Amino acid sequence: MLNRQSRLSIVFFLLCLLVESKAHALSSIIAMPSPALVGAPVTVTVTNSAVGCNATIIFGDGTSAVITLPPFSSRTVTHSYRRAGFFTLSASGGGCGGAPVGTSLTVNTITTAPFSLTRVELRFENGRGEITVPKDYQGLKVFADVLFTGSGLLTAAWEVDGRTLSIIHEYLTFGSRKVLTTPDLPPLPTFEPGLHTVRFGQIGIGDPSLRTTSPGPDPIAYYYVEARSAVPLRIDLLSPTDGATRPEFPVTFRWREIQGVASYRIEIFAEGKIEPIFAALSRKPSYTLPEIYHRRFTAGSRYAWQVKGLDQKASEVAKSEVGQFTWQSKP
Amino acid sequence: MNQEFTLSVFTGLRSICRQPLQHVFLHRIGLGYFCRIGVRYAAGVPVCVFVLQIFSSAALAQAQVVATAVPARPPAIAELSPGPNGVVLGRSPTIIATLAPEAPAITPGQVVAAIDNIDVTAQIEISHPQIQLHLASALSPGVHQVTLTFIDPSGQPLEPVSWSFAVRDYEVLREGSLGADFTWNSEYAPQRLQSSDPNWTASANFHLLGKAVEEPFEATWDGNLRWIDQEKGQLGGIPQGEMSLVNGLLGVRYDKQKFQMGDLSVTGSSLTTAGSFARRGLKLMGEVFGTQFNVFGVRPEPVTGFVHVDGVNHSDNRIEGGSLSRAFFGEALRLTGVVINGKSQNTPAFNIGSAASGTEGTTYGLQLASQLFDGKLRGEAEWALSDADLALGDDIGRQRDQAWRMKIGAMPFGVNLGAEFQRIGRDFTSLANPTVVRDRESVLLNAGTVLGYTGWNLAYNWGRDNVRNDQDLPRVAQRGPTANFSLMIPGYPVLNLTYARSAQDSQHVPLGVTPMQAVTDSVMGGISYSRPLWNAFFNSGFTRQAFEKGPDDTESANFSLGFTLNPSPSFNIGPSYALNRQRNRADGMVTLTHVPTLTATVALVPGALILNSQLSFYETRVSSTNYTSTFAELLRVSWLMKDLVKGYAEPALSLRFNYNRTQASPYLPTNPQEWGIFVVFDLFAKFPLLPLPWQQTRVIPGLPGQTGLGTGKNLPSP
Repeated sequence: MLNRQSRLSIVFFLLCLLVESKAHALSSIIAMPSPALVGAPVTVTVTNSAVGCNATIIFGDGTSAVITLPPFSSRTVTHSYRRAGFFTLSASGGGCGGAPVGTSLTVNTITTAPFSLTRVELRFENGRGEITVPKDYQGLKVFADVLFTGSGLLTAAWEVDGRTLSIIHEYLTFGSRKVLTTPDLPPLPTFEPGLHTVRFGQIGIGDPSLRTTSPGPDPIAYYYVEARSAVPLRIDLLSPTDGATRPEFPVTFRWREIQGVASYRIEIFAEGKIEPIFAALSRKPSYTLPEIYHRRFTAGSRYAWQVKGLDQKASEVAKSEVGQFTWQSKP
Repeated sequence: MNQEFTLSVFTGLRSICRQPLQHVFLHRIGLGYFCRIGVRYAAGVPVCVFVLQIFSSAALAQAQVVATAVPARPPAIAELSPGPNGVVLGRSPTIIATLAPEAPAITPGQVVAAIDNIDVTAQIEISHPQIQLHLASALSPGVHQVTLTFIDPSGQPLEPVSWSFAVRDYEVLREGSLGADFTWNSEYAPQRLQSSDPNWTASANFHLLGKAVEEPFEATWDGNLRWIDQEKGQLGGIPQGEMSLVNGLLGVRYDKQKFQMGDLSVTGSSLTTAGSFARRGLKLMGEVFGTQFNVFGVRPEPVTGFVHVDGVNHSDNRIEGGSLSRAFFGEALRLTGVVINGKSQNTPAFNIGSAASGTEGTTYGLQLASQLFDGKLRGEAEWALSDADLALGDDIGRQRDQAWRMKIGAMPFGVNLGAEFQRIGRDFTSLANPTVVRDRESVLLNAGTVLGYTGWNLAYNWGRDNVRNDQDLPRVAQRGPTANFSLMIPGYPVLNLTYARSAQDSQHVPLGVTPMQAVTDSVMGGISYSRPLWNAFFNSGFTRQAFEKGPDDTESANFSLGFTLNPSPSFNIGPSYALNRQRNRADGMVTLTHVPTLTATVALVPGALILNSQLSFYETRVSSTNYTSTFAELLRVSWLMKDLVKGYAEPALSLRFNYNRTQASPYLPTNPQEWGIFVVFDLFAKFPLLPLPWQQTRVIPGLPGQTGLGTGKNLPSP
């Protein structure tokens, strides 16, 4: 009987025989991505299943490169094609011996390539892929800055913490750039403090030929919700009622009192204007307009009014909706 | 020649001071006739002086009458506190006007007060001879103007008394504040959605805000430090179990020079930075001899944490540059030059804002901008040159290429006209403009106007690639019009209609490449209505894409409608529904997608017990037997305990329920249902890190260097 050492020697001898029989052989050549784009880097990987040797890669566009392959290894080189078309790549040569290995590659421009996303960046209004917002913040949006090739129908989903928020069905044309946005309704939820993820998920819907592909995992943006509330308390306007045709004299504005408000700021706007034409501060939930200010208003004109609640530091803690009234001169 | 008129026709004049005047004697001065036609006294004080001006004496009926009531002098004031140009420490000063002994007593209704043109009459207290004002809300640091307007017994305003004073936080610092908003969030899951989920997660966030101002110096800080951890699993690259600088911006300004460090925005030109480029780094900007300068260094990709705190510590991943900008003849001509250089060595090109991995190079930009006729004629022209290696790993090396852009806009007769031409070279690149689409020429023409309640917009765009017309590359051209109509009648729903077409065709297509010949037509319509307590919308669209060769022709119809109702502060609900019908015209296969959602907030006990919910259902149905659907529900009840801790913090204890269900036909082998229960504790607390300066006030003598304080000038009467 052979002892253990003898058995190992025999196995090693047989392995050497096997390797020797495979010596001088390239096993594969792979070009990625396929199809490729003009001007974009293409990685060409040649695998050697033999002892070390030098090999020549022919890219098919009139250029070539010589690489040194260590034993039983792969070597990758990067190449860019300057013209479009169908190319045959091969690797062969010198000390490697054996038959050449080959592959083919289609190179497109971004307009003639199959429809595909080449780059997606998610960002919030601050231009970054992360943002910190207070609780109940309204109007939070995520923008997807998409670069794509070809033309086709993009089907993708906005997902928040794994829940589907909305589905995108958008035709994109002419291999270009498009900015997509989360919808107004349903909004990105901000009622939960903590970290949240927004995912731009590319999905295959129905016919596989309509699916888009991406070069990597679905892009993600993060938003963190602070525990402080962003939404000011709501002040209910009482009088003049919305759309009132004339205020009673003396002109008094009333609203419902809110706890924690040190003073109320009432603002009156001419129709369609952003800057108020009149503003006043009041501790009470009402305000009587002194008569000397009446001349600021024009009979028959429509005005909007809004009340904001301020705390001791003058921070806005409450806000009303915008009411409207029509001014009428004192009889 | 002086003339005498009967003034009984001048009702406008009489209404001003309510003085019955019958006759007036006019003096001719220059082109018009003037007279002082009366003075009215109250308690020995002149309260109303009448002046009349008539430019034409020929026809009284056509005479232009300007009648002004010159306000009389107000009661004498003995002392003002804070006095004119005074300085007060603290943000809640008491403002006192003390009347002179000879002044008549003032009663409520005889004086109105305003600060910075905001009426504060409702907050004044009158205790003869003092008029006191103590605002319930703090004043901001800076100069404020107080105006007192006394009213005479007939209701007419007297000449207003106005003066200014400055509010400061500290003697050495006009404004100084430093505080932290602290958030704690932790949750424990007695029942996890999936067995691989963590049992607990926790996070703490410190939002630090600081400001120090002493003109011309100003320093600000706004940033978030965060610690986050969970029992197991990874948070997608977010540092776990350690404090991290998520974002922050330090700004230091001295006069017009400003330095920023942190997460900032770099603004160069349209071609070099695509407007602005938001990254972490350093920036110095300012103005010298009327020329604005901007020098910066930023990281190519977005980063967080303390490792890249300044954004420029790695030479292989850094973009540096600068710009100079100067205006000539007002803003009639502005010249801007930009240089950007850098390297983006090891960054992935997907889901980040950097240029592709391995890009290195320099970009130069020169931009001319002009505005004439109050901005009604605007023009921009830009040229940029890049010398860059788009992929350091390939065998091509650096390539030099150019980009051009010209844009003109005008607004004649209320019509907004615009034209833009752009040509981007095949190898043009800018590390600070990673989304530029290369090898592209395009023209955009547009015209828009508003007629009554309608808005009209027409546009035509044309573009093509392969700008060098290289015969080894295909050349694809796209062209098509866009038309938009909107109807916006106040108080009525807003209507929007849009049509757009994109037609593409290709030339000299090499063997092995599919020619591009496609037409895409889109028709969209929407109607929305917004009211104070509710709003609703309905949108629809139909798009059809037809290829002569290549992919199958498809068409897609979208419908979406939504409604939000907010009838009271305690109730808010927003259901929505979206439907898409997608059809492959080659095989007739139809795919329907339904997405109904519901978002709701209900205050079960206002201020104490809040219910939040978000539900979404998503179904894709290819045929009656082939469908996929998912349902996700989140229900959360929160107990707000602010009152329990007397307002010192805002703790909340919540119970959250999640339920997800997936159904599919053919049968989905994975677990179709999952549910979880989570106990959540949140805490918010605000920590002032400096004493609150507005809690104590003190009037101090004027400090040196207090420029720009009010001068006690009179304001126009309210």
